[in-house]
Amino acid sequence: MLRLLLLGFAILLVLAGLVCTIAGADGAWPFTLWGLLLVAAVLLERWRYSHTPKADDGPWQETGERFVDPESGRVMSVWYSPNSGERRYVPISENDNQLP
Amino acid sequence: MLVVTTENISGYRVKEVKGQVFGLVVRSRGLAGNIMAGLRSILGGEITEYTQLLEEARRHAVDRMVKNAHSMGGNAVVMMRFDSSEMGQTMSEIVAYGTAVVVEPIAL
Repeated sequence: MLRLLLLGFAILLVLAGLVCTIAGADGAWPFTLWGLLLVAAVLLERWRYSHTPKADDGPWQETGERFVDPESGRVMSVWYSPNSGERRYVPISENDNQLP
Repeated sequence: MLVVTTENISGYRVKEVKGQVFGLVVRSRGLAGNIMAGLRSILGGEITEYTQLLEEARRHAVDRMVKNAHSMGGNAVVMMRFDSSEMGQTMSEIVAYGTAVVVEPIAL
């Protein structure tokens, strides 16, 4: 919700900058610039840790480790590949007793 | 790969100590995340943007530590600990560390 509000604010900033610039206000271009920067920041922000496992890094073993993901609120299980040493996180409710 | 915070693992004995093992990561939220966190801090309560950031950093650090222990030939990490610090205003460092060992089940 907050993300959408911020995105809306950024779009309004861009529009205000454009309208003012078209209307002849030469000093309005920073509004457009900062608005575009904010739009890009909201849309392109990356924080989620994910990796692309190799195709041949199985078999996977369940470690028994569990935790609640604070982002989704789902209980996650942790799987381990003895071949590659990689770990993988799988929501329990969707993939219970299945290999990731 | 067993990862424990204790010195000994119940039901196993340490066959070989491989040495210290680390997993270190420095992460930050982007501009938008920091702005949202700043807005959220006005009202107080949990700053979910930073909770998510640190949760991801914790996973990332443990993953790296486990992979390093695996590359050392260990099959367990004992005495695992976390440490954390800040770099600059918006970057968080988390390090997971422990001792990589080879354990084997105790024959009964």
